Amino acid sequence: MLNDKILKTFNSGQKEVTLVENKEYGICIRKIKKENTSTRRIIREIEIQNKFDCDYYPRLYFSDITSDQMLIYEEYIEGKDLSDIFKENNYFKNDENSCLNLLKELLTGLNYIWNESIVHRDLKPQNIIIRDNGIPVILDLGIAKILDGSDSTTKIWFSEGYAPIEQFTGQTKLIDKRTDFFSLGVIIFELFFGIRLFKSNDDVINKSPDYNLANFNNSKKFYNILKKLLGKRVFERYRKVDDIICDINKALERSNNE
Amino acid sequence: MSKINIYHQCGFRYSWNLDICRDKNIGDGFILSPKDMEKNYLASMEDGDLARSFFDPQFYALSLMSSQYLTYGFHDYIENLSDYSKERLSIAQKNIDYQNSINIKYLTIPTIDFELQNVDEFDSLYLELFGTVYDGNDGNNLDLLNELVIKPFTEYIKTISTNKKVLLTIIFDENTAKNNDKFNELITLITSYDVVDGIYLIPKCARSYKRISNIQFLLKIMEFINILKNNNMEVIIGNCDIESLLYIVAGADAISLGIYENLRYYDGKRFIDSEQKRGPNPRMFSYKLLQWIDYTYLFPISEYYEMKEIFDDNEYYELTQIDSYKWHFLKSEPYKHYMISFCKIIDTMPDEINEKIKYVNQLLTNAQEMNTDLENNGIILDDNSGGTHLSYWRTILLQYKKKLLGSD
Repeated sequence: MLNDKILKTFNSGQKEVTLVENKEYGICIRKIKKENTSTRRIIREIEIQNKFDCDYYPRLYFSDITSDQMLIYEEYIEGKDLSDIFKENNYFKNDENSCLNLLKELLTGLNYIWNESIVHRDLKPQNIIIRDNGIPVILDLGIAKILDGSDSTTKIWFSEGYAPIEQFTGQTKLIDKRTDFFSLGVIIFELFFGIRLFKSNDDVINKSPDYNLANFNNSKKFYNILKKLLGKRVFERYRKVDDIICDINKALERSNNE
Repeated sequence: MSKINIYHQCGFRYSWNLDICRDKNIGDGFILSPKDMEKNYLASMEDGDLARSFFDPQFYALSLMSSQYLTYGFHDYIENLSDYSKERLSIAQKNIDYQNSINIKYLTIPTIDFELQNVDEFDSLYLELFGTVYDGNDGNNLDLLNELVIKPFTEYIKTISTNKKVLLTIIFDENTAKNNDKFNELITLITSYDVVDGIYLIPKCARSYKRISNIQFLLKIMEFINILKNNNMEVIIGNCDIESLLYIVAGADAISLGIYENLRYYDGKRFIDSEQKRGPNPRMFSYKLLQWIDYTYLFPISEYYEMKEIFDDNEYYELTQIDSYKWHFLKSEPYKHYMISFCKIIDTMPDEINEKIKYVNQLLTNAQEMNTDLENNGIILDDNSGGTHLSYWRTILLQYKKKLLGSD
């Protein structure tokens, strides 16, 4: 019997997630397997999370997972997810610099997994929490794809409106870090303009982003960055993380000089 | 003016390339060919020549066993893909270590020409590598290429210390031009490797006559080049002939210059030892007609025209005009004449894309008019010397402008 003090229970599909006070780890997140659910995705998430020890991912304190049972304790991150921030205030709205700085932090964080040939595949505002010190924490690596050929996931997982065409049409061979670039572009567009860019997969296929919304003051450099993140075809997007960061730095430099 | 690099595609009689580059400053470097140049020879090359060159590992047929090639010791005898598959990691390592040890400009990742391999072994190899059945589509071959060549080489390159840029060799064939899925898969794959700085692109297209005239093929390879450039990749076209004018319009950074036709046109059979060699018909390149003209036409043409209006009157042209000159494919003058003449055309290519299109279109139009003029004077060029390619190439240019640049 677990001896934790339960502070809050969260909704979660595959696991029972609670905020608890544990004698050893203090206030932390506890995850327990729900009945009749597979632990395969969770094991994958833990395997990936275990590789990195940085502020961009929740720290893992303890895990014990078999096919029958699961117990995980991980860092509780105080802060709001981007979805809440988006709903509650206008922090990023019409603010290029905040958006670009956030994008830069996200790229730095995601580069940990990309360097290990892992693609997140489920980036959306709900999966990004901002720490009090401003560093974004990337959650839910459950459907991340390992690009070494060992990934045997056959089901097509994605979040509608954030996933690019190659992902929701099941063109798995075309998936690489540029799949995540697209989702980042959608998130940054949403934060800056304050509207959901794509509501459906059809939108992703057919709709071209409108970068010229009234009352928004986006620069040509910002537009170019968004445009190259949001290429419909994989090869129309940025090729390297360094290229994006270089463009972000140029845009920030220009902005600071004005 | 833009600076388009021109690399000599070394092969049989490569000394002619070296001579004209060193003596006349024609071309910017060499594509080194282990099939024809043994290891000791490369070791003896001057630093200045090596530093502007790169090495084509020539894995196209895999079974290449020329005595020169064997001096490199990259691998023991490889009879088939399965043999190669077992040794691929050590082959990649030896090959890259060698390229990194000599003072050349790039590290080049090779490619395999699957049409030269035994299809019967694909099933078992695919099953062994991927655990699924080979269904014979182009995507499967791309999987094999990735697993057998690109991954072992890129993974190894990541572990070494080098300041050389990395080129990946890719054959662009008619299937890639016809099949959008293959086109997308190929371009997505080759742009996915951070360690790769550029593409050594080999056009492979069947011809009815001497010049490639497949409109779809040429348009799609131009689109391919354009996408690579949009991805900030360097593009060097190998085994190309004068259709390279179109590749330059599409944005290629460099093209190749070859002596014999088998260096100006990719045919994998060159890398199979049993190749039957046959001397080509001697021809002279005409800058005005944008074509290689069978030498027997020079006589009637000279009856009606100032030859320098049609053929560049560099010193090698003069040497072919002496009465005792014996036309033969082992004579260097027509090839050296070509290299000087064609490089002049490239050197005066404008930089801006619309200007480039205008420039090439004008060259093609002039050539068409010249062909008509020749006909009016009763000179009917044979299909291999004639101008049928000119209309195709003009169509390609104008279509490229309309579709990719969105202007008329």
